[in-house]
Amino acid sequence: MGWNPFKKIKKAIKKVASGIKKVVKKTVKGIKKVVKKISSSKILKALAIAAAVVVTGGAAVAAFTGGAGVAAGTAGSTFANWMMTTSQAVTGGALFGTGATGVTGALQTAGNVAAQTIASPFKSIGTTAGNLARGVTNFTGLTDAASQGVVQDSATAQNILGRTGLTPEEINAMSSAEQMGAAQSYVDIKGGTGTFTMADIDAARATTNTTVASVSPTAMDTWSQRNPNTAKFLTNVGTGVATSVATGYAMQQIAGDPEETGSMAGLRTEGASSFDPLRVYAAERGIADADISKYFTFGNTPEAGNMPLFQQQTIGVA
Amino acid sequence: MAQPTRGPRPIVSDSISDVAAQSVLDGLDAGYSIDEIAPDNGPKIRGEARFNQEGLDEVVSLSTQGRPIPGQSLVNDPAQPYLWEQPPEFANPRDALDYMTGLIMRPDTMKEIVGALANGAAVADIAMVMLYAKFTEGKFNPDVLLLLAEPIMYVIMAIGEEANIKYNIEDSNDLDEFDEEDNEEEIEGKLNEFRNVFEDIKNGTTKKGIEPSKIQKGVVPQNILDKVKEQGPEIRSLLSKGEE
Repeated sequence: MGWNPFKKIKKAIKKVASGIKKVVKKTVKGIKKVVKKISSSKILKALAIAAAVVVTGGAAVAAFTGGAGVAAGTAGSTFANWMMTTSQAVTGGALFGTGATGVTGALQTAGNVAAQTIASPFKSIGTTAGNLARGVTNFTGLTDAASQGVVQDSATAQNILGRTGLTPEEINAMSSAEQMGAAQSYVDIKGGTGTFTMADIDAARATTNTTVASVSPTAMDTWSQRNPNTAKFLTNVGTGVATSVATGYAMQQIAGDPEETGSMAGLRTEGASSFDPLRVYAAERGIADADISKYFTFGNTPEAGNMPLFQQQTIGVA
Repeated sequence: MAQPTRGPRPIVSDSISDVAAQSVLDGLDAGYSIDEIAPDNGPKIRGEARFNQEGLDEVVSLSTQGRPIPGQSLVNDPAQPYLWEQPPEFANPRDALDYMTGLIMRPDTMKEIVGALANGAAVADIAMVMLYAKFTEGKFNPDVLLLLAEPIMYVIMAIGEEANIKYNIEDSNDLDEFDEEDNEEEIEGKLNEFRNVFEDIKNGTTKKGIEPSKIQKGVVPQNILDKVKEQGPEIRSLLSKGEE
């Protein structure tokens, strides 16, 4: 009988599954040692919620423990909201610095977009994938309602932004798309309550511009019309689109005119290329992209996603 | 709802279990109660398989379908490889994870997952079926598949928790193990408490200088007093563990 890769994979999967159960049990026990008199089932639920919030980059915050509706860091803030409050640095897109022009500027922009996508926490992915999470907030009822964002027009956006503490002048200074993006971000990130600063708006504007630049051009419509089934599929795969949108934006920043005929405007259909945001990101950070699986980490800080999985001690040779 | 006394501490780890555990402990330390972190949604529905003749027939039918002839893949046209034989769509595990969570968080997918959990499907099985299916579609390679297993399982567990289902992680009713451990711990705790009290009483009696010779005659039968004198500290409590 020859080598059967599928058999090996299935065997490995089985091992991983049982290994994870052991890890879960060990983690529950570990918490019980620190915090007394809490039932295991409660700890398990808390663990699952915390893990889901981290894994989804905060996108699921509205879906778990009624995360939406209360601003993080305020009275009544839920645990899931609170968990997200360390993520401001990465979501501001300042990891690569700002202000450079020319090619360096383009790389900075691309790097920041990539960092927001790869490091995953919480804002950039949250604002896009958050729309998906919102649709499943009502788990027990399992309603399919509200599977889209709540901000569908600029009037609603202005109404929502009116509650943020921003002045009418500040709101009116934004374009309609930016208002909608900012309002949606406000709902996704802060749960629609509390203050929303200009720094938040700037971050939201960057995200909105990304989305608008990638989704709006006529070239995409033409491509979608030519490939309706593929376009529908790509629309349906949710977060995959969010990632592709950012990729498209990075490509356009580097490659030039987004209005160019034939530009796919965010709908990435080819495989990894030299414009892959990961590679741009890796190059900026001095990471070999072939070693990228070593950098698959989790957390609530900008470092999540770019810390090595292991650092083996090497033997010094004289 | 509690007002947290501080913001969350930065956490980075290669293990999602570790991050989750640290986040929970950090939340408790910051002032959240466990009920605020994991609110009680009432009694849970136990995930149990229910017999379904139609389903059984389907499984039997699937299992009796033809399989490839040994060596069949070797005669395939190399110019038309299977999807999993081509470079994967997602080389970066982070992208692959975003893709998978995007799929899972869709309402229709969620509905199916909740249904499967309620019908007794194990979290590990659901996660692995989804990941394996995407591997065969050429979305990612087996290495990335294994890296995604743990986070995807946690997401499915969170869905089960939110849907108030007492799901199975790997085997049938394996969450009962947690309850059994809780019960064992409770019993152990009570026994320890009793042992401590008993020890205190014993020590207190010695300290007070109560000795068999000082006990008033007639209160305790003479043969027992003799036995106490003879054996002294070797006497075991009636509740102590017997010899094996």
